Amino acid sequence: MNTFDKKFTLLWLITILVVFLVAIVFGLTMRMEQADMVEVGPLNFYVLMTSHGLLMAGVWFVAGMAGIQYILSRYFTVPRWGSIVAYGCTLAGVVVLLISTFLTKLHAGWYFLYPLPFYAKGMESGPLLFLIALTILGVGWLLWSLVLIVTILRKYTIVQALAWHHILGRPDPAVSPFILISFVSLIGVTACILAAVVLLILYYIEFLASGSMSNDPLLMKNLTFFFGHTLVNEMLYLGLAVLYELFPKMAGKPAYKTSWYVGLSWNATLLIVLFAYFHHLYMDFAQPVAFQFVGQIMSWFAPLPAACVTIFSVLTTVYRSNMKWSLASLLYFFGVMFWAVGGVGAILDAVIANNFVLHNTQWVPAHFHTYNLLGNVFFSLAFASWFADEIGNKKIAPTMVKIIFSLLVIGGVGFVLAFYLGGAFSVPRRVDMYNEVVSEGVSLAQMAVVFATLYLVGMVIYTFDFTKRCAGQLFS
Amino acid sequence: MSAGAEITLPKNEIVEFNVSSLDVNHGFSLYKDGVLRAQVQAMPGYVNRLRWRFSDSGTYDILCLEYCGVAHAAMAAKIKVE
Repeated sequence: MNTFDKKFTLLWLITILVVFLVAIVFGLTMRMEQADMVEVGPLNFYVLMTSHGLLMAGVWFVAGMAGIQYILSRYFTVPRWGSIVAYGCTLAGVVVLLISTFLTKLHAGWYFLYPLPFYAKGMESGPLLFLIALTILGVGWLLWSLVLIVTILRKYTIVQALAWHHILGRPDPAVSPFILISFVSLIGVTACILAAVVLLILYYIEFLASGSMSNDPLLMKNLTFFFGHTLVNEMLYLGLAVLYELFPKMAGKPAYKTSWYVGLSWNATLLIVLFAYFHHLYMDFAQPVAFQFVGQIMSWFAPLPAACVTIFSVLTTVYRSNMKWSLASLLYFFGVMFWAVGGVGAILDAVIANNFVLHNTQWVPAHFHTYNLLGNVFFSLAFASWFADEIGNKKIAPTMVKIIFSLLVIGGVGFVLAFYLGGAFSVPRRVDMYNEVVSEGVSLAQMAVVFATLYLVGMVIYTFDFTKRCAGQLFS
Repeated sequence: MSAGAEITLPKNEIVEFNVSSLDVNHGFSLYKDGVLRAQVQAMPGYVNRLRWRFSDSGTYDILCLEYCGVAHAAMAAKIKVE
């Protein structure tokens, strides 16, 4: 492991933590507006909502990628330029994105459902700036993904990287679960970013045509959700890949090996996750019926291979182990458990009959915040915590571990609970104020503000401690 | 139907809503006493047909359930069922 890899990973992590804090403040302000505790107005609320969603999706995607890059560089020489270009594109993309939202007042939501960006704009330049921001981010991330894929393929064939020989019972060459899951996830990432490229090209064509043509809304909706749903799932798998590498060592157990069932489950995940997005279009009755059935079946099966194998692996690793619980291992273990809870919420929502009364209620942010805020984020914070222990000057104090972990868990659980209750009470998502019909939303938003504040305090302490322990390494 | 409108529909008969949009995606949802009973997306260029039998009389609230822009939370109407 060379100094550059350590320093650049540190730069990524500090950037990620700072952007995460900003994005939490955006989200907290939204909940305060819904709770009638502040008054930012509908336009600023939706500007915040757009910025919050895109920053969160982006920051935890790059966090997963930074973890993969760092661990991968323990196996191979990984070209630096992919990560450097991605870092530059991420910074530039975020700046242009924030200009498009806060200055031009574009407020199309994080998945910018067609044709909303052409309507939900403050200034005429808003949609173009927004599309440019997404293009910059997409180019950087696509290049980074391809660089990492090519790096793996320099040592293994595609069939080997997918561990098909392990599925067939052949031991050589040994492909670790980390390599397999990284490879599978990077293919998924590439697929969804390519869908985003097609989506953006169609947007550009319509923008440049100045009203002389328009796109098909159903096609655009399919592309949007293929991109968005797949991205948020793959970024979680990137975090899991690193978990497979680090967690057994934290428990004093031998490194995981790719058994036939681990190989089979992640190959199944690669395929299944690409077709699960159809559940976002259940309420579009114009969608071909076959797609609706595919969506339901794939949504039921999507979590089975990866989640079951991972939960089983983590539980057996902890059982009768010499685990010395650190912040990293706590975040990994509970991250997997909360991921499972969020998965149950997702499956319930993905049943067509349930979706009829849950779609676009707060049940949706409830489940995705569970497996992001308490799952995916925990995976990346665990990696960062392990990384800080590796390169930092001193270990984190035990008291600090208790404070940070308690704040993140209590704050996170209370925060998502307010969303689950909102879903159960039919409270709509994505509204700046609640209609009198769903007035429970106000008190639930007040509850969410309290718990989100606890989570924010936990993250401020985490970021401060991480930076204090590691920042000196950037300039050493 | 436009936001703020109110119509009257019969109880225990199947009503077909032909739902579409003239601008962006919206969500057509039916609430009774604050509980979401049914919904369908309203998409420009397509007609989504929702067939629904109102089993309870009284006032139903229609709320937009798909984020559609700055006036999203204000998109509401009522249906009277007799």
